[in-house]
Amino acid sequence: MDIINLIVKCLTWLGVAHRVTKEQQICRKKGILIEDIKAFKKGDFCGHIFHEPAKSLKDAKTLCMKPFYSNFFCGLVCLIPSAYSIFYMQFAPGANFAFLVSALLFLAGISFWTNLFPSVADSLSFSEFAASSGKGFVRFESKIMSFGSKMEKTGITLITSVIAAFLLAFICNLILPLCYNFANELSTMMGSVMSGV
Amino acid sequence: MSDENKTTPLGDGDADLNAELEDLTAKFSEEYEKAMNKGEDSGDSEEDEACECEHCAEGDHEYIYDDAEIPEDMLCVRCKKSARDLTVSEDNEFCEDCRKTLLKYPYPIKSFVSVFFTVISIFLALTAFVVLFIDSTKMAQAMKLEKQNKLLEAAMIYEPLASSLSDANSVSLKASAKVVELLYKMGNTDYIATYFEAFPAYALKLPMYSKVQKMNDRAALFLETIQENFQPISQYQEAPSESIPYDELMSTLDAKLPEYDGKENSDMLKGAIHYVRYYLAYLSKKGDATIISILEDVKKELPDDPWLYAYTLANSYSSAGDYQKSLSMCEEMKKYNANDPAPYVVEAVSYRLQKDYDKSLSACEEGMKTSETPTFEFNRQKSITLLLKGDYELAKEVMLTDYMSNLSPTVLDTLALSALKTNDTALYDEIAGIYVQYEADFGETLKAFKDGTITLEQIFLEGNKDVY
Repeated sequence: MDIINLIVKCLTWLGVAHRVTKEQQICRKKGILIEDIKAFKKGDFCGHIFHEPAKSLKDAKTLCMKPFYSNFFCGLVCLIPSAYSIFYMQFAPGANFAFLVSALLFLAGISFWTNLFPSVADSLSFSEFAASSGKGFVRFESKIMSFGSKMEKTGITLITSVIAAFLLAFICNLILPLCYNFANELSTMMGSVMSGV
Repeated sequence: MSDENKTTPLGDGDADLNAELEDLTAKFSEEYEKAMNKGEDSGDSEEDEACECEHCAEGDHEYIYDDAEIPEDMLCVRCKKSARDLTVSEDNEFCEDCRKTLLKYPYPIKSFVSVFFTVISIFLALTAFVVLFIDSTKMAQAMKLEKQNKLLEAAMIYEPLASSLSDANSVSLKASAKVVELLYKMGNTDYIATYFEAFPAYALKLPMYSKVQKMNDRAALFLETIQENFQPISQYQEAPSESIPYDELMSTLDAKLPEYDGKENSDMLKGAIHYVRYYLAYLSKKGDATIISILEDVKKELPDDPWLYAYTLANSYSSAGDYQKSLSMCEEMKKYNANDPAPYVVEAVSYRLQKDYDKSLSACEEGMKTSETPTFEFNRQKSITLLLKGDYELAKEVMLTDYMSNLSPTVLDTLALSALKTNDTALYDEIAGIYVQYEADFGETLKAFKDGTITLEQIFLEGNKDVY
């Protein structure tokens, strides 16, 4: 399982590097000692930095949630245009710059979304703090992180992120016609206003 | 002897030494007991007692070792030189200096590289979003309409996107493929080649665009077969039906059908032959039963291509008085292409022939709402129904709304009928003037009506059931 995880981490290099940078930034800010930052090696800390445990719920939550949101939003921005182009507009390979950009953005987005979750140690620490002193939503977040970190350890998040990208494209396909109709109505309204003027 | 050896292992000849040892053991035990009791009573750690350094004297307790004195398990795991800083925690493994370094662990190069690529990705994504947004909304809307079977509306959105295909634009690639698909579905086979020729060769090899090649091939085959077999019939297009050698031409066409057995796209080849057979029967005025039987053959060969037979078959059923089949065929047509005005026209005619004028009028209204095409045929059908209902003024008013956009003989004759029924001679003369302008004349049916030899009911409920 470790080797699969390592392969997935290598394939999604950008997401791992972004997450590790974010984790390191938080550790430095919070005064948490970092013991090792080699993310691309087999073991429990594959794709993460090895650091001392967080000392409070706030630190544990920040360590888990901030890199999560950072990776999530970077992935979202990359996947909205690329996933829609690939799944719905059927951008095809060929001598085509738009396809190349879409494919690269899709890979980047998937790599961000594959590495959303913290290490098992971090998620356990967050869960313990949340169980002892956390409230409803924090406990919920800790459970999500705990589940996600276990999934990520198996490398399955590569597949789930592709599925999530397809769902994102599906949602875009539901929203975009509304934008089209809204733009049409707006232009009609503007036209009538302008003709009135 | 042996018993003594057990208690005095040093030998039985040295009793003094034994006694001295026993004394020492007793003293050691006593001292040990005392020390243990003292430690328990005070509750202090052993270290506190052991440490007598200057820092302890100042109340600043620390482990300070000389380099030579540090036990190996107390060395910093990182530098392996200095002692661990246990002031932070008892299990700290690093010395003070190493700890300071690790707390501000330097960012590796890959962090800067990842930040660079993340920024580039986000910039590209935002640019792509802005560039593709408008086209994406159009594509999504067109796909939504296509799902609702509004084929014409969808094609009208796809078409402008497809027009930039020469720029090798990915958006236009799918739009072009969709235009080809929709043109085929709507039966506009003549235009498919135009879009197909602009399609890049590499794209046709991709699995998602393989349909384009297939549809173009089938459309081309259909047109080719029709043209080839229509040749002998074309000379009789203007001829009277009695002069057409129907049986001879039909047997020639029938003989071709077995030739296509087992050939690729044999369904399309046979469907095209049946279509020519239908046209021959129509020219020869063979009646509804023959036409229905031939069109059923077309349907049997090409059930997925209702554009080829559905309208004429529904019309023929209606004309033959089989209104149920005609109306169910109309429902099928609506499901296939919700923008198709034809089923509403056939519905209006069917209800009119059943003398259910209200339903006929509502079919026209519904058709006008759902169809994207001009409304003159619906207005004409509406006007006919109103004439039959006896509402002549309204019938004329409806015809006058947009008759100028279609000066076909059927429109002009229907308007002339309403003019005659309302005694509007000025309008009648105006229509006659239009005919003169185009060097044409009113139809025979209208002339007969003007002469009073035929009634409105006879025109619209019998024979051809229309003014032509």
